[in-house]
Amino acid sequence: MNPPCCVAVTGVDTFFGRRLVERWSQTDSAPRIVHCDLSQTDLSERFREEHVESVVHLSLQDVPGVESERGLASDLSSTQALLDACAKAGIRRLVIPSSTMCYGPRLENPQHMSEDARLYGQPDTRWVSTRVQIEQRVATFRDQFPLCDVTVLRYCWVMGPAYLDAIVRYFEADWVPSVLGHDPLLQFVHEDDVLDTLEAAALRPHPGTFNVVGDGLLPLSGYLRLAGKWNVPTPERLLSFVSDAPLPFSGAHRGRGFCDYLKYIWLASGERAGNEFGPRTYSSQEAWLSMVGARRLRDYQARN
Amino acid sequence: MSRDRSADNQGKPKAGKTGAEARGSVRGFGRLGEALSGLREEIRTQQRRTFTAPKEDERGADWNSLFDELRKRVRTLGMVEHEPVVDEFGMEVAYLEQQKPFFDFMFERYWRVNLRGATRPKPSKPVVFVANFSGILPWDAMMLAHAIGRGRPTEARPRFLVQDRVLALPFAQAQLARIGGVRSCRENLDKLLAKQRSVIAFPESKEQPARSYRDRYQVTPFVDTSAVLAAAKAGCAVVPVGIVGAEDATPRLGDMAMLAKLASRDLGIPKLPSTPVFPLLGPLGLLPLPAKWVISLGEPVPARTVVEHAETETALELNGVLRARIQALVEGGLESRSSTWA
Repeated sequence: MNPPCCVAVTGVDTFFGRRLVERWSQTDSAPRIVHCDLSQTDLSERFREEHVESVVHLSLQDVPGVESERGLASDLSSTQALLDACAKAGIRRLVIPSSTMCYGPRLENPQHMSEDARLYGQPDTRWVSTRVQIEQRVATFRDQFPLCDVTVLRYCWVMGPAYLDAIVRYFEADWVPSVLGHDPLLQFVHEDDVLDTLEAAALRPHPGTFNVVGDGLLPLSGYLRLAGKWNVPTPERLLSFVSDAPLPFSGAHRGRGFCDYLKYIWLASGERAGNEFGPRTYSSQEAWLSMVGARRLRDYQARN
Repeated sequence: MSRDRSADNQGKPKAGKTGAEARGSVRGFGRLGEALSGLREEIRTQQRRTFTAPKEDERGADWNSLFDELRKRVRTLGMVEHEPVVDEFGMEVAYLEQQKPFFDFMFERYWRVNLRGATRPKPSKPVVFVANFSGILPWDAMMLAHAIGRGRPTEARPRFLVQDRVLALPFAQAQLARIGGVRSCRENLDKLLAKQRSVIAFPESKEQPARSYRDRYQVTPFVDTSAVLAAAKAGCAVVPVGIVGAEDATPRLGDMAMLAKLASRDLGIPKLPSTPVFPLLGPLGLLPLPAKWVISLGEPVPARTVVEHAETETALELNGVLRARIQALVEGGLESRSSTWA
């Protein structure tokens, strides 16, 4: 099957939106890109006019430091609007990024969760709950319109030289507070791998849900040791006071939801994505070190 | 060195006035003397080379090198000794090898574990070990894994399944994962067996609280069929194991629900373990007592038989058989030791 001649991208101003556009502007064989603004009312007409074949939905919020109700509500409503427009215009391919955080941090989790595992989410974080709701809407859309190839890509925590969200900010400091008595095993995925899978899913049909995670894993203390950062085990209640940046998802709950992600296992199995998209370029450890190395270099340059 | 010198001194007076004469008169001693004087000369040049270079007195040079060494040590104190490498279940081989002396001590000296019964299964094929559950901390699982994995590559050590109750304890999850503990559930069992890893399972009821000391060594009915079902699916043998001593090592007298609740809810400290001597002795209360252990490996149930029990009903049946055999193994173990401590 030929790659589509026209791809609509929502959220070209987000990190991955910008990167994807940049990457496609550098190659000749790249598809035409339609920047689409989700506040438009006649989205489906625009899709039809431009002969859009494939839609990549990148306008969703990254992991926020402080959750804003309005942003999350707009995430949900805009996704619904997009799904409706896709249904109306008969789009062939739809790519939705999601997060493995949707599985939820629970003591009862198996070591590696497959894509079929139930999405428990995390009730204390609105962001994760919103993502779970979005996934549910996408699942109903998939049932209703089987002709459209829907690809849901669940990423674990993204690390890389340039990517920045609340998770990266939490790990950026020289000393990282962790929850006393817990040392969770963590996976990371490199930003380039995220981009590769997004591109592959936009250009070729890969229907289904995939966990995109870096190979290998380490405990949190192992990552910190590798990076030469100080691990500061802190009682859970004090964590949000000790951390110098606001914890991810801090808002009404002072980042309590995030603490669960530092306490329990929520690893995902990337086997299916490996079979579908080929092996990832970077392992978890390499992704982590690329983030650490880039920060260090930037600090050094700033000082000189 | 001193002996050489004395040989040299003995040789000299007998050798006469000059080297040439000595060589002529007593040929044997002369040759030895020559070799020794050559050696002495060499040592002298060596010494000159090492000690004259810094142009300082010898003591000063020594102190300097000592300080250099110290500084080097201090600088590397907080650094990584080894790159952390864990497998997909969180087991850290380097850490296990580092901790091997401790496990050896617990195994040989502290508990004087007596490994009885059938031969250890070969590491080439995965096996499911089914054992009686005891204690609050999974010392029994650690010792069984150590007993089977001794003298074999660390990667081939059997993994042991840990119940949620244990994982909820502070520091437990991380520490147990490092030494090969995996949360007890069907998905993990299947994955471990698919990766050709032997597994130690404890199919006694999960909900049942740890036995009180009065009811020790009464193996309760096996409710959890996942071990047998996973073994049937993977087509591997099941080995019943009776462990005696673990319940004497960590006797359980009472509960500390109140304190645990207070600590976890109001102080933000993760839940404290409720062991009997914990409040009295502080952290020392977590240390197990030096009881005598007997681990009895039973005759394995061959894979052929296990596969026949792939349904839940039949798996329960096999569970009953396994329970009876483990109870017999435990009783045999109890009889074999003269007292709790010997």
